[in-house]
Amino acid sequence: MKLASLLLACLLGAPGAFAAPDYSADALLRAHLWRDLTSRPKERRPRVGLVLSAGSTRATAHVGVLQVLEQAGFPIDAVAGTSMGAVIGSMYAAGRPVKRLWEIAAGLNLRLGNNANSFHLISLMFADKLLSSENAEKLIRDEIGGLRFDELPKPFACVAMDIYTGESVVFREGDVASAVRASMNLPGLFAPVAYRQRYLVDGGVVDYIPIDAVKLLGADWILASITESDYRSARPKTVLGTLEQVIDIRGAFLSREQRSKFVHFPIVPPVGDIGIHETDRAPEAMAKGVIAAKKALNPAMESLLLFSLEFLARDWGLVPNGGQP
Amino acid sequence: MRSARIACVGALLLAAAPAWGLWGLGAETVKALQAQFDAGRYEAVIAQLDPAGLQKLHGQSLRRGYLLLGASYDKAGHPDKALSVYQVGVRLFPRDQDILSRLAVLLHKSGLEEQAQPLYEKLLQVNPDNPYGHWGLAQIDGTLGFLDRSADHYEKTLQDLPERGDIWQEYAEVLYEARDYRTAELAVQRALALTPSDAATMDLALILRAMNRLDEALATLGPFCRAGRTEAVRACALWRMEAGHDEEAQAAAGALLRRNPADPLARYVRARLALKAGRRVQALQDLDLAAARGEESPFTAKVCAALASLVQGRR
Repeated sequence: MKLASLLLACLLGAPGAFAAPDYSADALLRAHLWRDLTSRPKERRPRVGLVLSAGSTRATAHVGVLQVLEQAGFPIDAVAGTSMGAVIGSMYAAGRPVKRLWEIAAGLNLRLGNNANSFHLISLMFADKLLSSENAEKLIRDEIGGLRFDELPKPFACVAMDIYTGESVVFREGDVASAVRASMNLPGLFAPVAYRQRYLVDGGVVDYIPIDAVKLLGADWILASITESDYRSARPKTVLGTLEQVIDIRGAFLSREQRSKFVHFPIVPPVGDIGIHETDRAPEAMAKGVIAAKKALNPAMESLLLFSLEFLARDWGLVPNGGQP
Repeated sequence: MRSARIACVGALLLAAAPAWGLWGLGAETVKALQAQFDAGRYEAVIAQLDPAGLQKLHGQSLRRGYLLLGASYDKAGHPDKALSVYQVGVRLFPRDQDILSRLAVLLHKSGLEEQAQPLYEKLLQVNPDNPYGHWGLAQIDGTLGFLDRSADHYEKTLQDLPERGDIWQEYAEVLYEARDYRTAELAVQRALALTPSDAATMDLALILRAMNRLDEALATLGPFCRAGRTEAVRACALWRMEAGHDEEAQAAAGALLRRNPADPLARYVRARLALKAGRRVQALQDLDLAAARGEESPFTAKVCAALASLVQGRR
């Protein structure tokens, strides 16, 4: 052993306090029930829906949340996403490994929206010529090919808005990549996508946290990863910045309204200060997603277990009636 | 432990003795101070290394002076002052691994992980193999949820410190959390071979159970159960019920309740067994009592309250 190491070993011991094995009543019972819940067939437990909110670069935090859920063996039976949540959710539902999602999100400035350069923005301002979001579709297609919704290993839905009617459009069938492109088609920046006689833009304007979409996929219990903006900290001074701020304010209002009513368990990574196009901060957003999900993991498990208790008790023979809850 | 540390420092001094001559002005002073430190006279070291005392030292002696002063403050129960000393030391010797390590570890021990992390990273910039840089980052990453990164750092730490049972145990805990149970078992077995400890043995039981080797897990906990360790008896009660060994589970729950009539997990186990045997009234009594223990075990209390409602058809 080197001299410096010897000195440190003698004087300092372990750097930080590390948790001892958790044999508390709550930890033991949680592990006991979790083992029961996750080892049973899907039809004998609640169907778990994961909702990934809109939020552009902020929403790359979902990748960090997914990493923690995957490592913990959290059951996810259906996924719904809006905008960037749809991009990440589609690839996850297609079975792409979280590690790959991390790589994609970390290289976001090179792969997605790279036609949002100064020249194009000037064109937008002076010639009213909008950009195309076809790069996003290409990104999805490169990753998952030409998969259709019914070919995805996990049920998935995404949401866009019809710019002519203001309706939210939930995609659950057809080509996945083109639907995801419509879902993340930021209004004012990207040209609307024509799809089945509709002109579609980013779903974050009408359905920031697509809870209804995941319910349509049959979810009983809903976990939402929410990446809303803290728009009060932003001071936009440019045309693009102002447009982003308007979208963020609308998204934040929608998000608060939706999450307070319909989500069983929210995970909210603290990424509110990350702007829509600060793609260089995607690694920071993902790291914040990991940290937030790790903190929320035990409470989320407990929430799902309490919700599932009726299913469990029926199989234990403790509940008198035999019907589904 | 203290005598072992002093013995280690003694060995260190012996090894370092030929280098005293190279330590510049004040080498003899530092040598005397080190002897006082080794003898546990921390206040004396602190008194002699006041600003005037430090001014007399140069080069390696000054570096050693800061290390001794920081360590003396830490040992004397003044970690805040130790922190200040190391912070000045890092400014004077920004690439010194010992001072960087001490400052990072002290911050980490104080719960200031965000401030410790960049220092561990700097330590690894200075020396990519520094085991304390890797160990610190392994712990921080593990706590924050970056399990893969944490495991990587533990592996690098253990390349330099392979005889440290406590590090093998921490490594096993991270692998367990990442559900890499087989590797976790190997790591905790290594920890137990190097430094037998109750905590590592109980880790092993959790790992074995996760691998569905329930009999082995129960056998591992056996000595603790026989010794009446509450946490082990709780696990035995629950795991035996899980395995359908109702009588043994009942006995374990009974043992817990004799010690603590309010033990919420014992009440839960007893209620489940009573319900299974059709003793509904007794089960509801146990569930109600456990549900009232929300401050002690909030989740167990909620489960018991919900189960009571279900049994009574109220939910």
